[in-house]
Amino acid sequence: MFLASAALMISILLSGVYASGVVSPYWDSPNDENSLRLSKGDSKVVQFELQNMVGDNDATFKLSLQSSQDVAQFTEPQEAYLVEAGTSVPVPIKISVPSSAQIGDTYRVTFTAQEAKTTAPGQFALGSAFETSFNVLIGEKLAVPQKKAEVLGSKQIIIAVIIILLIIALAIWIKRRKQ
Amino acid sequence: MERKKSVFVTTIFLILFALLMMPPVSAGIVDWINQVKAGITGRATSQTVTFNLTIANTAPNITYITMNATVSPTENTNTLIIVNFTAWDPDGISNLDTKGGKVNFTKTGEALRQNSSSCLQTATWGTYYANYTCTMYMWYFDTSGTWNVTALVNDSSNGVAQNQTVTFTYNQLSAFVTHPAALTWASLSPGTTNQTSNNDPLVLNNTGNKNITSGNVQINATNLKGETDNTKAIWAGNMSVAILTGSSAECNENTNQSAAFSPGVFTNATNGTLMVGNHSVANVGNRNLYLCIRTIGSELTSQSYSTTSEGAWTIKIL
Repeated sequence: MFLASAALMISILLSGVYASGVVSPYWDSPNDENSLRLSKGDSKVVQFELQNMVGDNDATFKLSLQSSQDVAQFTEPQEAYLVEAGTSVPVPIKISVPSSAQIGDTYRVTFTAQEAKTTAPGQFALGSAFETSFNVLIGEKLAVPQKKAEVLGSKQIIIAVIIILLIIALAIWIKRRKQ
Repeated sequence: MERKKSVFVTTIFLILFALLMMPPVSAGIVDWINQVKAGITGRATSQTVTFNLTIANTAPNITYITMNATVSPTENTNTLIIVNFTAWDPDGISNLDTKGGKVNFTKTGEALRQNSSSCLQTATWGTYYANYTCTMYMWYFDTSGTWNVTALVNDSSNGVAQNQTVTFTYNQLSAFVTHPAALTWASLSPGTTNQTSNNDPLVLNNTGNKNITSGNVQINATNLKGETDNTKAIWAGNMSVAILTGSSAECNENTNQSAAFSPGVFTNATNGTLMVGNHSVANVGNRNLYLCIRTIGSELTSQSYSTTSEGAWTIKIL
């Protein structure tokens, strides 16, 4: 509540401790170490997470996505995301790279979460917001690794040779015995 | 004659095969031969023969590690991480230390994260294999990125197995908490200027692991309208924020240290950062914000002024 008149005290009452957060699976970092790497035509679902771990108040967030050529879309869009106190809520996002993309292209994705704070009469409400961005880098399609042929160990080879020789020796012995 | 030969060859192969199948044991064979030699000298036909067998210890091996490839930090606290690994000991599982497993996490530029008593042998299978389960914790302020995992286990002869083939990604968390729960101004009168709060700062603690650099702590202030007469307001444009105080620094835009709000627009707290750190340590991982009401309109009347009409203020980190 904010009161003003001659010689009156003014106070801004913030209702309790406010805390929340957003986990992102990709983010800006030197040398694009933590960027998402995809090939043209690829798509991938990545998961953000809303957290409300401190305090006793539930929090409601409104989310928005901005991306070059709209490559990023919410897979389950909602008007608002309720995060109960002490919990977290996953937010899946699908990244779809157009087939017209070129190797070396970069798409920028920005995820914003803003707390939708309700204000009771006479209160001063203070909410939180988070903005996080990352790059989607377009590269060559990774070749599917060929399954390596199994290589026998030296001990296994020796055993195999011995068994073969034994079989041959037994066969000779049996043959000569018959003669 | 030929038949005898083939029997001989087969016998030789069977002996070789039996030798190859024998476990790797070294024994005092030469001693034994010498003693047999002594036996055919004609002295004693029977005597007690002592075999001195030394079975060499073979170090165990960690053959498999499982854990989540991606771990998300938890706001303002630590996150439990379970690491399971399988150890193989050719000398048998009884040779493995049931409480001797260890796991640590490393990252360039970061201190070693380890828990020396974090692993327990949880299962054994077959003659040579044992499973270990390790509990580790990562804090909210631990750096995001790729962390290397090292799993170790000892055997009873101090043989050590070590496996460093696994990594995990620690995600990035943007988070903060604010306090105190109330900001107050004392003895304000209409028409006065440069009024500072008497119980600020408004403190932001970084409860995640993302460094918020200068220009990326922003506030969207709304007008505080009268609840009885909403034509009167404490206008957002008449308020400012700064990371400094003293001599009303938070009120003085000319010093380039404070920023006046514009309603509906995110204004960055000049030079305001919010870096990662353990905010329970003094002056680490926090940011103080000082607020000023530059002008109390002379037209203001005694009533409640609040954010009810225009919505909450918002602090945003990027």
